[in-house]
Amino acid sequence: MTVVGIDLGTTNTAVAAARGGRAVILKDEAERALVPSVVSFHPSGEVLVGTAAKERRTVDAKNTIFSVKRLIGRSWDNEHVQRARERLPFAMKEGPGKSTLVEARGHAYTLAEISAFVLGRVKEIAEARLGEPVGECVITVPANFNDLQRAATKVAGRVAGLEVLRILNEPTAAALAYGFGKGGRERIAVYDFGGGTFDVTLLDLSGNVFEVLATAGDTFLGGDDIDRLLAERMAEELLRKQRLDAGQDAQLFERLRAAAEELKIELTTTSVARTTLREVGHRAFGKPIDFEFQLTRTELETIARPLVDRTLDVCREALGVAGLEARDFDQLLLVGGSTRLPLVQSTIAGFFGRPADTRIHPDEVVALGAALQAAALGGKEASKRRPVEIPAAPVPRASQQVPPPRKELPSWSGSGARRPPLASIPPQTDLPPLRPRQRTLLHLGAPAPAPAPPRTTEHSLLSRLEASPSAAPATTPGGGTSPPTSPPPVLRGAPPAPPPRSSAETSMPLEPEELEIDEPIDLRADAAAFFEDLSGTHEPAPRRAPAGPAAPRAPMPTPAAGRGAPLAARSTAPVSTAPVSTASVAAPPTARVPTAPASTAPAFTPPPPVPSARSSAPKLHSSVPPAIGARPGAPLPLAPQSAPPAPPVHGTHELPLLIDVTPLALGVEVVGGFCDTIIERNTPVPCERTREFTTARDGQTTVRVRVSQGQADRFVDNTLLGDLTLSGLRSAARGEVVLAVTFALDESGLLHVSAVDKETGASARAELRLVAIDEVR
Amino acid sequence: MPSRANLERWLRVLDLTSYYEILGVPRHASDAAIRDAFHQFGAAFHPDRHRDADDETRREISQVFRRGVEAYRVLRDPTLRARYDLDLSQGRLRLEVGGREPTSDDHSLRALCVTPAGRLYAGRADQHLERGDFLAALGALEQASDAEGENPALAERLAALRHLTTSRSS
Repeated sequence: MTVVGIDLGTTNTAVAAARGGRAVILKDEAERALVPSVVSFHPSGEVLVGTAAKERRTVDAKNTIFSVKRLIGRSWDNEHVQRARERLPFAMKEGPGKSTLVEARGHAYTLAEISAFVLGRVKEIAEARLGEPVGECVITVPANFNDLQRAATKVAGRVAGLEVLRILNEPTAAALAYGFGKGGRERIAVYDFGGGTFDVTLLDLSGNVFEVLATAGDTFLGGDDIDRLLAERMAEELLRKQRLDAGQDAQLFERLRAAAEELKIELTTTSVARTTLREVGHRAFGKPIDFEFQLTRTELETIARPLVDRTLDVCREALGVAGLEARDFDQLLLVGGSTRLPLVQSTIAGFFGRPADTRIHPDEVVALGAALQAAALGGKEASKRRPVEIPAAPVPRASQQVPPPRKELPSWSGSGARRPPLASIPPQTDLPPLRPRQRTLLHLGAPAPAPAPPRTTEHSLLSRLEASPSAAPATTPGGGTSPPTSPPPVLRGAPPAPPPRSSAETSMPLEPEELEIDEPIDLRADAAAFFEDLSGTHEPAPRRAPAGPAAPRAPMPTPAAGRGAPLAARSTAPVSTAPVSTASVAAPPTARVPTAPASTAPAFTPPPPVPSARSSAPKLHSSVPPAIGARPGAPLPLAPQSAPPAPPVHGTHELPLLIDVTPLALGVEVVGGFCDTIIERNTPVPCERTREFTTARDGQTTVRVRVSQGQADRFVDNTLLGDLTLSGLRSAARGEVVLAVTFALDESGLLHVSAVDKETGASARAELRLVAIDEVR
Repeated sequence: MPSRANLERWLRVLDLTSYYEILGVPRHASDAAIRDAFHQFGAAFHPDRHRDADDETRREISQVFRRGVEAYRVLRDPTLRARYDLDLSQGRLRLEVGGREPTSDDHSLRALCVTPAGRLYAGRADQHLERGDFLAALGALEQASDAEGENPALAERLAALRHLTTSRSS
């Protein structure tokens, strides 16, 4: 079963799937890549989703729900929710646990339920395109989303019948789609300015490891804000000229907002744009009033500039966290529809001192990255994955440093206290079975951990010496060397090099039939053309043959239904409807095949033979590499679909590895209303920290701790995640019960808490009651 | 299964190894070398690399990975690394951060005090903090501290507040 990647956006949602290391957007029956994230409750009882729902915004504003992503995971008393409540035309009310509900046609829905309608729609599209049921997915969120927003998104997936394997950060997904298979090293800045949120993420790409260096963002800043400011400007003029107050008429304001969005899009290519709204009101005797409005690009930029400047502040913040300068980057990626604004492009290029990479598609790249990660995490391809070897453990040479046992060794781990000096540990080759950590430690007091096979590095002469079997066990702490090792030392080069393996183990089974079930031809051809652009080698790959000449980015597609498919809107030629032409356009980059030197990516399978079939129209069940699979120059992370068997894959690089970070500091409330940071922002995930808590009263059997995310010193200035209740403690005098509480963030950035009584080793019950989403973890 | 045996050894030595040893870098390793080592470490231990393993194994692998993250977080930060080197020279293998927090449902400064005058002044400090008036809170808390005499928990809060007010004014 294919795991799909979903970019659940504030204004639009896209779904993609990947196979054989290539991702493709799954389009709806009308060949549209984007599904508007709008849900409308029709009087007939029908629930409209996507384009059909978006059309209802101007006729049935009260029952048409949009921009839910701006609200999801926020508590009712959040200032943004309260402000949005005034602006949005639909009704909202408080639900259980300070959650926010929206109302339409007499029913209240949670925000997750609204998002679930959108997810359900893209699930349907994916199933139709893939021809199989879809049950698992990866959903992207803004990098700056907190735990509640991530958790709520996960709930939405569940409601839609999707198991969410991972909540992935949007900029990271974009970087993955851009850089996967490139090999080499690059420092990448991803500037993600979407409809409702802004993020900047700085990454290091080395081989197939994507390490996030820093991320920062504003979850309430996006292109929608530009539309709204522009609509307000139009409303002013309407009031002045026609004495009509759109502020009193949600429906009318909605029409202005929709017109503002179209004007903004038009001004990405023209310097002046005008619009006429018919019958915005009526004069005496029913004479209709039309409203004409004209705007220049300069005027639009005056309106948008303060918002764009705010994004620069966020960029500076991220650079500060990473300790980098704006000019330190090899690549600048612009993601999100709002980056089509010329003002944004020039401002950002100026800030980073380099032009942005225009080969990526700002609306689709996130979903494509999500699909690549989805393929890496599960489904058919993952089952073919070779297990990764665990490298040999290091030989502790702490004996030099560990002083004689003390009454209590400082430790915030809850374990590891009363550590015996290693030097006193006699060698032991026959290892005891693994036990729970604490007992293992106690056990170590007597005999001892046997030396793991020495883990030496080429850098460390000392460790080599210590690993030598001739090194005698030291007996005096401080002057000793290392625990003795019984097996002879194995010198290794790069640290975790797995032992040689048989070719049977390493070569990947090929399944040429895999792509046989497949998408319609035009979809594949489009995908192939798209991937030529994405695969990002150094030749400037022409996007689509007849694309506009100088414009770095084609005009913003109107998501509005009447304006046609996004692809048609951004290209002057109607290529989206002509698969043959897209396929032939894709031909030039084949020249790139020889330019992908094996040396840059030795770990990868060489590219499949050049599919000459690609220049002609691809056939649906062609046995030669199909168009979707034909991405020359790009290493394949999994078994290629081509017929000739691939040479054995070496190393562990056939799948991308994302090392993302937590965007926000995690803290607990302490005396005086302060926030005590437990996990700093920008810490790679998954991660954990252990903190000790004691009871403050005699006989206290329950401890309650409030948990928040944010950078502020005062607890109330941060976002409250919820109450952590540790219960079932033994009754003892004040301060006697010491709990080691471990706060762990998982790969999706979600918090999990466990607690252990340090004295007895008994687990306490740890229950985290989350606000806003009314969930207990 | 060599991997299994290796994993068990990792778990056994995890609390006995320094951050340098976990990442497999020498003490003088450059930032770039530390980053490369972490990538290598991640390639072996990131839970995503072991999606097919059973739950128990994945949990154990994740435990090793999280310790690697702890090591990396400290070693990539020059300040933390310097502190850690000092700690390591005294035999502490993990960087100690934060102390022990007494917890009750009452998070006020007032609750920390035992003398009537201390409670009075600390109560005022609570109110000032509530309003975000750090300077006034500092004044009140100093009075509370005088009244209380020896009160380590309160002294700690006082120090934190002093730090906060000076860092804000600068």
